[in-house]
Amino acid sequence: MRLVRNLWIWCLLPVCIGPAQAQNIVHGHVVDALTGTAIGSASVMVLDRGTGTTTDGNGHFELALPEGEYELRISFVGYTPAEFTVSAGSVSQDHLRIPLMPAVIAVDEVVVQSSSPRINDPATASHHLKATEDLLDRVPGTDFVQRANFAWEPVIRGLSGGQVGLVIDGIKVVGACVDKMDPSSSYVEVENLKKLELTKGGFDLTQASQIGGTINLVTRKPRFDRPLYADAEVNYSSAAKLRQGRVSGGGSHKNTSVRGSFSYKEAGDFSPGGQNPIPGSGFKKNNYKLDLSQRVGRQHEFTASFLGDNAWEVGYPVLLMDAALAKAKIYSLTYVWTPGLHWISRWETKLYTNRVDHWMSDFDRNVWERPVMRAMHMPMFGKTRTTGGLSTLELAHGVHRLKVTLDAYQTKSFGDMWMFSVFENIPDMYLLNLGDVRVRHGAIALDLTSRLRPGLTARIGVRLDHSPRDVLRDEAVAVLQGRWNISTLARSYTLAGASFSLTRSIGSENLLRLSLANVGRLPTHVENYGHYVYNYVDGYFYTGNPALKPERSTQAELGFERWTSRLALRASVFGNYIQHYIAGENDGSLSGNMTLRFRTYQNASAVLLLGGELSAVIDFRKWFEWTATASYTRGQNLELDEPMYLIPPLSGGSSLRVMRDRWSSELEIRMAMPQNRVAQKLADEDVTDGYFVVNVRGRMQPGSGAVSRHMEISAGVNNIFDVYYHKHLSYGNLPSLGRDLYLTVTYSL
Amino acid sequence: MIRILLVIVCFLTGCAPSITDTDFFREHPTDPEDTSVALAVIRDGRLSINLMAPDSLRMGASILWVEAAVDGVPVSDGDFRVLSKWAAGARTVSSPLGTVKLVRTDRPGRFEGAPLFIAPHGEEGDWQLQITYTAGGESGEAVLPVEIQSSIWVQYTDGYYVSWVRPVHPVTGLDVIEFALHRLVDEQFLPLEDARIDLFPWMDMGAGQGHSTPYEAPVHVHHGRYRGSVNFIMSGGWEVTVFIQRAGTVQDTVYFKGFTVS
Ligand SMILES: [Cu+2]
Repeated sequence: MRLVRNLWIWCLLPVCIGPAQAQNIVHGHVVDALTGTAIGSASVMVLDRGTGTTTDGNGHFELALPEGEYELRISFVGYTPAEFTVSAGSVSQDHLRIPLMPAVIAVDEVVVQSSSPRINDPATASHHLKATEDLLDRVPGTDFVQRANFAWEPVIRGLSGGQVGLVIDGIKVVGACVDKMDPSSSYVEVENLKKLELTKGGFDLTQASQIGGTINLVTRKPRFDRPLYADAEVNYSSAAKLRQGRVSGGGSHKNTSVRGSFSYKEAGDFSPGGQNPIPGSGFKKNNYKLDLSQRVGRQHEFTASFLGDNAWEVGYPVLLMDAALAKAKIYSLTYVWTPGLHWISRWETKLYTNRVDHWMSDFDRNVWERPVMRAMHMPMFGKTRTTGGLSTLELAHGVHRLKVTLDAYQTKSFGDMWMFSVFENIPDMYLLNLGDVRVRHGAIALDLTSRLRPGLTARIGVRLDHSPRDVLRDEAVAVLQGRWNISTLARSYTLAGASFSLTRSIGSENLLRLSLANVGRLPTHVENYGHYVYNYVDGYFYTGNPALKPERSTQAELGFERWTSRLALRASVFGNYIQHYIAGENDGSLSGNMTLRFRTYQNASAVLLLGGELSAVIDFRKWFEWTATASYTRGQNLELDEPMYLIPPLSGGSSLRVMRDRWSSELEIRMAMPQNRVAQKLADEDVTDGYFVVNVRGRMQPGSGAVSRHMEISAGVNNIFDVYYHKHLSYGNLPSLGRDLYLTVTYSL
Repeated sequence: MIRILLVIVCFLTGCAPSITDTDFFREHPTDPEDTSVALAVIRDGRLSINLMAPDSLRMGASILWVEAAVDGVPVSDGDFRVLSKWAAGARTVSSPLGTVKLVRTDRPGRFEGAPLFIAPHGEEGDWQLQITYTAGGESGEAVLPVEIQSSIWVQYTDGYYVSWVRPVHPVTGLDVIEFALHRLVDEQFLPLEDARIDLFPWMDMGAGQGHSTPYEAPVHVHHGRYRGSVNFIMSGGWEVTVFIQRAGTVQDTVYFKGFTVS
């Protein structure tokens, strides 16, 4: 997160640098990318070393580094942080000109730093990270739909699913589970996460056609700055009897570098506060990644990447089904050209393909007792195959920067289910939830940033999407054509969106930002062509509607930031008016008894979301600070005149952090107010109580010996008082973890 | 280094369990067995006609195949017509839908049709199939005795007959559904053309659960035949209730219950 720029330097720790080596001085000059003016007091950080400095009044800095390649991260208030690789000792690179782009859209960028946590950032967890969700969870305005103690689905300002753009290194990975058990965020384990970039609201149009926000999980790639490196970590957490281990490492030689990782985790039944473990709530998961990078000269770099993820025996105690096995394989090939021309700064092109397979079963369930789909077993299978390309060209001209993105992909989705009644006289039932749905998608996005005059920067984004889609399997075509009485299911969408942001600096410490957008988002393949898909929110079975219109959003955001040497404050308020809101409407052509109820997706209503986020960091000493975050979203369905469902209540957190040379500790509070604004017409949503949870954590380096200086131990207790609570966005009121003691040992080479 | 990592990855790739479709759908029905039956063989010069059916012939519309060959070579052109008859002693009643012309199928030499087998309610009798053929330079006629199984496809109510004419084998998706209404007067089935029909398709999922599926009520097209549609949204066991309203009478209800949609 950009939150603390010129502050974080105060708490960087001098970490052991290793045997004495010849020190080379790296000089750099940090300037505004648009105007060329020097940026003073910018933070310069050597990643994975924990050292750093700040620029002087003329934007210059100096770093003494042993010979080798290093990754620097430069940041300053109002600018997008930049990462640069430098070679200490090389003649050509010892004097660097580093341009920083003004950040006109608020980007929450959470950087994962394994060895030196940035304690003065409210969004960065100073404790160990069990999963990528731990990191996202600390960004105000972000929540999760929780279906199990596993793979939470991100929600930004009350919007999720097709309304937000969730990508991995820009890659689209479409979930294969019609019950959305497999959000792609679960495929990036912490050891592979370099940073996550999050924008709230529909202002960043470069990642996806979206109206709620974007999350890009940027994975770790091979590094050229070290010949050999490795990390290993083991962790145990008590509440879910979670055991996990990870190893990662790599090496580089001249222009070739490789990095690989593997992790495994296994959780048993988890215990909520003060209660016995919930049966059938554990999981098993492994994850592996391999990347190979090849540089050709100074300008060209190719990277081949593979990411694999398997989860099995994943218990979903509040759903009808468990995930028997979920597999994802993501392949990509990336080419980056940095020509060093003054008008083309960078051109990145990526080709990718991925496959997701998902099996659900209820063979281990007592199917007699459940209210829905009683007395039958119903194994389900789903798969998606996505292939695409992404190309981003960054152009520079004077005080203007233009980013051109071409984004094209195709996804084929299949999903089916059997229903085997326990009664002999009921024949087996079979249906296609998704009968080879093909969605093609092509888009062009332009993103122009211009410095209008000193202290005033504007950004304009436009995006044009075109998406033809169809159903290919005859059986599914027959059912949907019959349902809608249409001769073809083929549908082609064309959608345009635009956003505009203006940033005004007030003095050197304050920043004001206004963002406006009129954007749309396309229906998902399930909303268009799903069949008999159960919705756990309202308890209806849904049929997709090929005639859906895109959701259309008009939104505005006002942001304020203040940065002083002791305080970082960030606040924003937003309004989001969504027309053609896609929601369920009772299906008059189908009737059922007991709990069998049917709806179709319709552009039934308009909704209005209002809210805001606040985060603050106060730095009392170099080693002692206080952070606080709060966020609120209010969603109203205007057509039905009732609250929207799955809207998080007012919630936030606060922590006191102490960081000394060899240890750090944190006392943290997480809390939420009750949510009494619930949907009663569209769904039978129940109110949720507030909660107040206290966590303590510590981290230490045991020593400076030959072995111990590579080690780090962290331990803590989350939910010390063993409070029983559930979050409003957790399905079936699935409770959160009770008291959770954890111990993590990390060894880095 | 690269080699070591590749070996590790290959090893690890295999360490998640794998599920094959057959393991997972452990009760996955196997492919249906061949249930076809041979009914009769007619030889006329070099022409041979195999009369077959995919399943045992049944009451109602029942599929019939003719496989015709000349010197063992399947014929591509031919005219085959069948008429189903019920007979008891001197009394003979022909199918009210009359002669059915068999149509060529994708399989060389095979022609297919679905004559309607319908018998006077509550009476014992025998079945005959009258086949007329022109193929391979030969033409002729034969009357063959056939066995007909009782079935759900013809229902009797209040002095008239409700026959399910099509679909003979309902499938998932939109099916044209057609019923025929007849009264038996002496030795002749006479069409009932004045009825208003409504439907209710229903799937019993067990344990008291069930649901309907979208449909369009049949309307009279000609000679006592009523046509509508049903969109079976999933395969499995279905039932269709038919409500028949005729002028000046109370509404009759018949049930077609106990069939599967594939
Ligand atoms: Cu699933």
